[in-house]
Amino acid sequence: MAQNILQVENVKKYFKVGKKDLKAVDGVSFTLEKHKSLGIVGESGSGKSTLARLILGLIPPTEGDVYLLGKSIFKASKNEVKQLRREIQMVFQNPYLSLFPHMTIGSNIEEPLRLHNIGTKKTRKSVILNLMEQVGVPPQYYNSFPHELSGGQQQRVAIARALALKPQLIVFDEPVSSLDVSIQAQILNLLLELKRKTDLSYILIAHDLAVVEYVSDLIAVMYLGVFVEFASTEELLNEPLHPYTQTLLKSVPVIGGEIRDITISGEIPSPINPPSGCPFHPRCPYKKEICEMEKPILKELKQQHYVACHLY
Amino acid sequence: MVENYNDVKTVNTFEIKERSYFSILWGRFKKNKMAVISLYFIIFLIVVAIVGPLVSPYHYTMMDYTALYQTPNAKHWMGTDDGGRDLATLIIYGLRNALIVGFGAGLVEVFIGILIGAIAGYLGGQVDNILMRFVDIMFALPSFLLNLVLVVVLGRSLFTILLAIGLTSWAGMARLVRGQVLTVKQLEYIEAAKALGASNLTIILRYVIPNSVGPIAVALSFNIPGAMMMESGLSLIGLGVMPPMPSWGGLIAQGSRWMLSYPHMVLFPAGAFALTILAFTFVGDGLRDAFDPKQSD
Repeated sequence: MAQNILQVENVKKYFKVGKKDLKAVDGVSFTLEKHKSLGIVGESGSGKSTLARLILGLIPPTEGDVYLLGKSIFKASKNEVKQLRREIQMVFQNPYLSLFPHMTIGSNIEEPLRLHNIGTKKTRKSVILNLMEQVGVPPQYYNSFPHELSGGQQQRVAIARALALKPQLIVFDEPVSSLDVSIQAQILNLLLELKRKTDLSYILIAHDLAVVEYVSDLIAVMYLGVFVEFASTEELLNEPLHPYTQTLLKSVPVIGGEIRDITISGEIPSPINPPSGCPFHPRCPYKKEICEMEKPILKELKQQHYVACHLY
Repeated sequence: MVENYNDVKTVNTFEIKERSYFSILWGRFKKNKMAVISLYFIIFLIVVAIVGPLVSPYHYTMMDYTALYQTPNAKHWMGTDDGGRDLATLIIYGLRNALIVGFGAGLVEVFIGILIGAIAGYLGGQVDNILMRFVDIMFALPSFLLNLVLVVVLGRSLFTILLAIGLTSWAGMARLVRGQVLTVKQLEYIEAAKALGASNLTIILRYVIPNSVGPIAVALSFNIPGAMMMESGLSLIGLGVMPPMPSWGGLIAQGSRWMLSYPHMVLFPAGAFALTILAFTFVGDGLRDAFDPKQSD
């Protein structure tokens, strides 16, 4: 338990849409050990971002709980929450929208330190410049404004801001999907470097398996608000068990490779009107009768390899 | 954009120009020539309003029955009125009162407007509903009539007049601030601020208000002349500042009686009034340009 930095227990988040519930996250449980990185992959609408906000405690769950370092972020007192906030930070999808537009780069990175009353104005400045160097933002941008920087630089600044409090866990919500491919690689390398140099754990959310596999120890595949498969990166890539994971892997085009004919058709169903039984059954090539009736639960098929599928 | 910063670091020995948000705004504001001229004109007016009464050889109570209805001359630069009072001195005192009422009422208006608007916008729900219905009521009541009532109730002094004007004109500001807060609060950096551990109050004061300051400043620069007009309106019907303290509205009312024979008596105060209002409007235009986020420098 002590080693677990994050424990998510059956969290659910339903949004009211008219009289119906939109089941954005419908029962997710997992634990993350210290100094591990978890990638969460899913199509848009699979509830990844909602899950991220639940983990951060930014929105209250409909059910379930999130424990950070053994403490529930939703049941903690105001002061405890503020303390917990120092341990968990978030980097958002669009750096331009998530940086404070009226503040300089320096002030942006300083903001978490100021909010938590860490250091004096002078000592903070050296901390900020160190952080900027760590993430690769030239110091002459100290007094620039976010809109004067490129997207890649902005995201570096956002990462520096998240690092300022020396958190144990950072949740990256699609940190590279708004960036150019060449910049994406740089940011991902930065993540790897941070993990190697510090004892940071992180959760990386993406819709692209290629992004996640590069920088994660573990991968969870999310579909319509649930984890359908959860395993170490190696396991998952070498031996994907869930049909959805298999098709995801096969849908990554390979230059010079053969043209594959197995792709998933259709789109992710609406979480307001989820299919009965297994959420994936309308698109599943191996659909059985039971799949329409009963929702499969996530079970440990092999050591540390969880799958929610009736095939196994 | 420089991605490889190792080279840059050695070349640039880290000179950090102090740049503030304000300097950027000023840079954009400067591009509007009329706004800059108007801003200097307003500063000039403020200086005149402060220094004028000190250096003027006349006082607004000094009547000179040997110099009635004089047209502009060396002794009385703007002539004299029907009581032989120096018109320039009267206009300067009127200017002082107009500025006090304008800025004072503006301050009251901004304070109440931001308070109500920010609370309604940020908290939302039932609080928002109740506050905004109250704002609707304030809007529905004719503000001039409400002003009359307030001035009668509170008494006729400069302070009560500016208070009355401020108390009756904040509804528009509250609506504006609420709209701004609603827009800003759903932006991603507010969520980021929450993730950093900022409290609700901090979020409003540090992130929401500073990012709403543009429209507020623009509205204010249009509302200050509005307050001046309201004060003149009150003076015009004899409910403004207590005579013999001069007010522009009062001077115009008085001058208009002699308009055909001594036009200078109405032209000077009306002209000063018109120029002042125009200047505030131009500054408002300049501010709007400066705060326009679509403009980049």
